[in-house]
Amino acid sequence: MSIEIRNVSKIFNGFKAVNDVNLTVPSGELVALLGPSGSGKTTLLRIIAGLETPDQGSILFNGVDTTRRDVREREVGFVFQHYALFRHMTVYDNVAFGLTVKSKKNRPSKSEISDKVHRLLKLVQLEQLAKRYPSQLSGGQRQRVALARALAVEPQVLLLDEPFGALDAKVRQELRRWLRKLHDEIHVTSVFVTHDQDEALEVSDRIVVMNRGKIEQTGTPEEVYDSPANPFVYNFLGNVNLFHGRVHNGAAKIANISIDLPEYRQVPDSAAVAYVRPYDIEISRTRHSSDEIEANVRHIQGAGAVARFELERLDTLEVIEAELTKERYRELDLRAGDKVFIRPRNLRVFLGDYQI
Amino acid sequence: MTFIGLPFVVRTVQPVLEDLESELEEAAVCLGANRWQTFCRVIFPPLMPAILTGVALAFARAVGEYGSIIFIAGNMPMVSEITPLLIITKLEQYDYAGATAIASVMLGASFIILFAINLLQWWSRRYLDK
Repeated sequence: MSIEIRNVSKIFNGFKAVNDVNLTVPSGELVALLGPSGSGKTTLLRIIAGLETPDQGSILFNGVDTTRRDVREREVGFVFQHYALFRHMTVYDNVAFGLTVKSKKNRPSKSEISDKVHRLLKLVQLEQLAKRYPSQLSGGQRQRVALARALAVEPQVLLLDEPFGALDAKVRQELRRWLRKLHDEIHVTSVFVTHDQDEALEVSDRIVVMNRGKIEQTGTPEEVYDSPANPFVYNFLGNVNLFHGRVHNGAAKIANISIDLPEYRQVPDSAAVAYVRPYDIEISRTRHSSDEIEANVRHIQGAGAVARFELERLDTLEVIEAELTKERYRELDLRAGDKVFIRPRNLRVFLGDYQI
Repeated sequence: MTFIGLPFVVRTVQPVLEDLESELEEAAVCLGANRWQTFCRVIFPPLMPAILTGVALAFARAVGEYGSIIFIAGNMPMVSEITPLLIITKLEQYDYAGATAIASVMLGASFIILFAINLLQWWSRRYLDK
């Protein structure tokens, strides 16, 4: 089922949590709402679920307006960050809850419920734990129970509010992959909220980046990561270095580097900021050309797949983060305190004096 | 009696009720439960131990109550007569045997009721930290 959000706004005590948002989620997609805390992503999710009512705008499921429809009639499955399992019920009863509260004429028979619950528990790989209570399970297992419980009522839409937020890194990774796999199997339209960019990039079909109640950019993970629409998205998705400079009639001067920017030809003169990913910074020990920037190595972190460097520019004393492959790191044989020449590649220039 | 007993229940239930996440209600509603089902099956069971604790405290308090009743209540035979008062009456008539008999029945009954409440409470907490 597709979801359409039209001009939705929500105000809490004068604060615009969601500000005139428009979004369409096609049927069967897994969409991530990504943003820092307070960006309105959870509020938007709760509005879709019907747990909050928007002050303005409407929500359409499959083209039908559901804005005023009760939560119970929306057929949504909602998974909470802190699981919200019923702790006085066993895993089995938790999963069966949605089926046993149905009115007599719609309720499946006991054996049907039992079949279904066991099928779901098998799907979330918790079959042998059906008789346990939630307090006897680990965080990852609890979240899977919560997911099975939400799926039991065969929702048209699955909504997950920071589903892996309360779990440790290892379990989180595992569950991410598992969620992706699960979605490929059952194809229910899903929206999940996260503030973890890696999670969003890895799991979702599409990412919606939100900030201050507004959508900054929507796109596939590659689109959002490789061509961010604005400085905020650039900053939010991965580490980034800033180089301040000026744009003048279609040419940018950033530190010692000149770049042609035909798209800014109409701009007579403006402050500009160039964004560079850490892995797009070349480091060498000797000067090759005049557009390299001198810097000192302040700190090296060599553990992991790439070596991370903290460099200090000699001209502005700004700190720059850089990443090198292990081979290049060994080749250069750098130590803290060494003087190096750096050269940014793939700069992306935005106008204005944006600060993080 | 209600004035004396109620605070025990309210006070013990209040913190538990405050601890109860509103997410639980929301989860139940999302799964299609109506208000009544949400209360009976989601809200009430976790409150049960606290309610029972309150009841036990209120009961213990009520059994020993004497002052407020002889001052305020009427002490009408078979309507608002209470056992502690009967014991005192017996004592004033130097009927120590009778007083002791009533007292021991009272003691036994209190003990059984408190024990039953404790059992019930133990059962209602079965899902915690096993």
